[in-house]
Amino acid sequence: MSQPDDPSLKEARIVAARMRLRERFEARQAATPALADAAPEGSGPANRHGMPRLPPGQHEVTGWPVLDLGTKPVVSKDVFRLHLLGACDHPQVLDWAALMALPIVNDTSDFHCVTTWSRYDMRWRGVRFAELAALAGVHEQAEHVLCHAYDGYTTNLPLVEALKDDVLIAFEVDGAPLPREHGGPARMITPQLYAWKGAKWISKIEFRVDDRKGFWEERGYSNSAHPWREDRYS
Amino acid sequence: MATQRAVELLQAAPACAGRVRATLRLGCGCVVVREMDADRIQQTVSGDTLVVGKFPCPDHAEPT
Repeated sequence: MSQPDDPSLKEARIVAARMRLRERFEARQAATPALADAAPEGSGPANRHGMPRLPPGQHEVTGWPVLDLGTKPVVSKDVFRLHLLGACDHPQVLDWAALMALPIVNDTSDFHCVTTWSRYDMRWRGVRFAELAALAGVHEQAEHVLCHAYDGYTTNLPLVEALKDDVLIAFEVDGAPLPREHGGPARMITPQLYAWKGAKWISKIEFRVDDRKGFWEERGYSNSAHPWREDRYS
Repeated sequence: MATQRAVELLQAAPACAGRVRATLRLGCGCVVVREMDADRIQQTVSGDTLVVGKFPCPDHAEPT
């Protein structure tokens, strides 16, 4: 008889969890502002999800300013741990090797910072958030996510946004390891929301039934953070 | 003391270790001098100068 940690059973459980998440959120994802706004604000040709490439109030830059809470923690791959916890059946702690053992994807997306700059065509490599949610076996009642980082930063977002295909736990950018000042060894990215929703130096992903505001959300920034609605402040 | 965006960069001079000393005009019209990381001053693709961030004005709250 198979044991609970039998790899084939675990894989089957994760596949089933992925399918449940897709069934549960597919229609709601399609209705989110970055995919469904009929008259979105912004300028330029349509991006890959149908919004004007440059959201309102943004300025395209080619640089990449460093923004953080004032500290840049040193997190080596040896000490890196990513905790999956909260409203899930399989809370667990992933070390670097465990994260690298998950399906890895490449994706090119734009990056929109609430401080009004946007950088186009950033080439990311990482693990889809949805993969981690399936691995954790997120509860049916879970609707929210609170992410924690090694520098004490937190940020919250709806699970329906976090599960989008372009939301990654990224560890490479533009063909190189993610630099420490930009959140290396791993950070989350949320291309369809303002970038502060993606925690640099991510350490914990907490699945939640109720919403809990993160660092900037507690300080007057938007809970929803939709760039094409210029949804910067609450 | 609320923070505001800079509407104009009047002057920027190198300071120590990758930082600059920037003279900024804020949204309220006041001019302040702030030291900041050099990457806070970005040239946009359209050729404008963007000062990233918000800055406190000692005399004014957020303009209405």
